[in-house]
Amino acid sequence: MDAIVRGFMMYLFLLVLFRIAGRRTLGQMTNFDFVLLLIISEATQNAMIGNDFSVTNGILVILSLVGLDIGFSLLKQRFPVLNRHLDGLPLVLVEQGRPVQALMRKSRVDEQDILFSAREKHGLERMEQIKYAVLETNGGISIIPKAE
Amino acid sequence: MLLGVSLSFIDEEIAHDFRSHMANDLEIQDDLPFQHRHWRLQRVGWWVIACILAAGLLGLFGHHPLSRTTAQTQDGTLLVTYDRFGRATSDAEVILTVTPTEQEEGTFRVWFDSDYLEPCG
Repeated sequence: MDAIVRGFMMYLFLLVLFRIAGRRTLGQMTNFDFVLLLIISEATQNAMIGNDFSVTNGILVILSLVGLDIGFSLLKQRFPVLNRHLDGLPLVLVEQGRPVQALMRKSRVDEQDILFSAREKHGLERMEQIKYAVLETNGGISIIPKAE
Repeated sequence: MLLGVSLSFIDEEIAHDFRSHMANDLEIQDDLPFQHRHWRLQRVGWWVIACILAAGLLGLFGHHPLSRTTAQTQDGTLLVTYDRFGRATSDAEVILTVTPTEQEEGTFRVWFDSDYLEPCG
């Protein structure tokens, strides 16, 4: 039982934590973000597995995580209002080449992040070439270029 | 347009959809009947997961207060608390409660059967 309870607790804790930490935390992966992710997964594993290295324990922990994940996805399907609470909503940060400073400050995104995404996805050179820039729920920034 | 008709399923969700392919001019290896069978299998799998988790929460996999049970000697001097279900390559907690008949100081010895200890390694 403890394997399942621990699995549930860690899943829920991480779910709430990353909603609080903000979506940019793991959205754009620098080398440091990657290392941070590895360390977090290591700490999570220690908490869930403990010192029980049996296959039974491993399977129960994994099933509890995946099972809860499936459960939440079914719940989101039946109650769409859960989507905004669990995943968040997209946010428009740049309109017609003009960044919305207040929203960018609140979401801790600066112009360089947006320009990086614009270069990466569309090879754009300047902020004026961006029609809309959207901070998506997965932490990525999607860019809609102005029609030439 | 020729539509493939598949009669191998009775699921009411796709009662209106008897096609075996979606886009006819798309070079794609899709197969709707297979997809529907797969989704049914997936839902069966979800129930299996739910049953396993329920069984674990009820104590069928050990390490659970409900799966602990006791055995006692005739005269009540030795009480053994152990887990009904064990896990391979994992610790198993066995608690021995000794109630001596004489209130004297000294040592007590516990004997373990080799048949019991041998498989434990």
